[in-house]
Amino acid sequence: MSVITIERKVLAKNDEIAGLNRELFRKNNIFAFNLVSSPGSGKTSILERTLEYFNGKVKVAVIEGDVQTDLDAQRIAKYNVPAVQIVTRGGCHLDAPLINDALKNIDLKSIQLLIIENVGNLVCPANYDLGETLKIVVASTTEGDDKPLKYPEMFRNASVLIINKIDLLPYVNCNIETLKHNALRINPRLIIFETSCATNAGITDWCDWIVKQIPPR
Amino acid sequence: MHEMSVAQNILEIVREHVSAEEEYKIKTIRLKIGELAGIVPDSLLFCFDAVKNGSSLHNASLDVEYVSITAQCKHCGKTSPLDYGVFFCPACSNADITLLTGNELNIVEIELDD
Repeated sequence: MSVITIERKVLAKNDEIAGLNRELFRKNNIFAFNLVSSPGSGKTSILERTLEYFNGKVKVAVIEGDVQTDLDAQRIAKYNVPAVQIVTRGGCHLDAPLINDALKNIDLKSIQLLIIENVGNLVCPANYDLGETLKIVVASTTEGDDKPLKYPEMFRNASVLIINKIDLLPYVNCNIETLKHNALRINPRLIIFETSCATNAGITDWCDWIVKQIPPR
Repeated sequence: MHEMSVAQNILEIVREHVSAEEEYKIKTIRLKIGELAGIVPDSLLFCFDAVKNGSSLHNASLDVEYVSITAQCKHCGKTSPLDYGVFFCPACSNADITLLTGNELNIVEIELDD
């Protein structure tokens, strides 16, 4: 019997390509964020409100990840920004090589902000570095206030929490203070925004924060 | 949910470390999987069996060491084990902690029949 020592991360290849992606963002002064949430929490709607708010003043590109269909990319295309759809065909998350391929279809010199909308899933995307500047997690009020406790890794790995659908608070079983308390218990450094894509509440604060993250040229 | 692609990654990495004729001799692949790695060990074993079938590594099996979560508190300095999903120091309740173990998803070594 002989033994060969390997000592390697199983996701080393992903992390290596994530490093290449990160270097591309750095070189081109791009703020890139990875938007994650469970399905239906409003990621694409937040994106739409964000693009409406920027109205061409911030140069944005979008990478849309979905298990099937290009419906989200069609929604984004209406805002006249470059949008690349990745269809994972059953894959539960985006990985760094998929992003690296998608970047070949985007003129990185002409953008300041890259938004990656991940597959709706609060489990697997937590473990895959895409090279993004940071992860932003969306939790909507219709999902209740215990999501951070149920999916701690995602809330631990995110830098920002957007609490969406706050217009529905009077009608749903969600205490927003409990939700924030639960999230901060998992990750005390979380920056929290409260938004509604129906009333546009909180969208200005959120977009102004994004603008501050964009590196100067 | 992504155990199938992880199983494929394991095969690829192992292949990079042995010659083509050694692939058939691999008996055991030792892994360390942390509780926070998002991997269900039973599901990974199932997927690994599926991907190794008919390949040069069909004699190989996985030996998984499950690693529990430990963290050091930046406030009181104590190192403690953490329960899954609890990210604060059990000694002083401070949430400013550094994870020491629990994120592993590593191939440690492989064992070959001579």
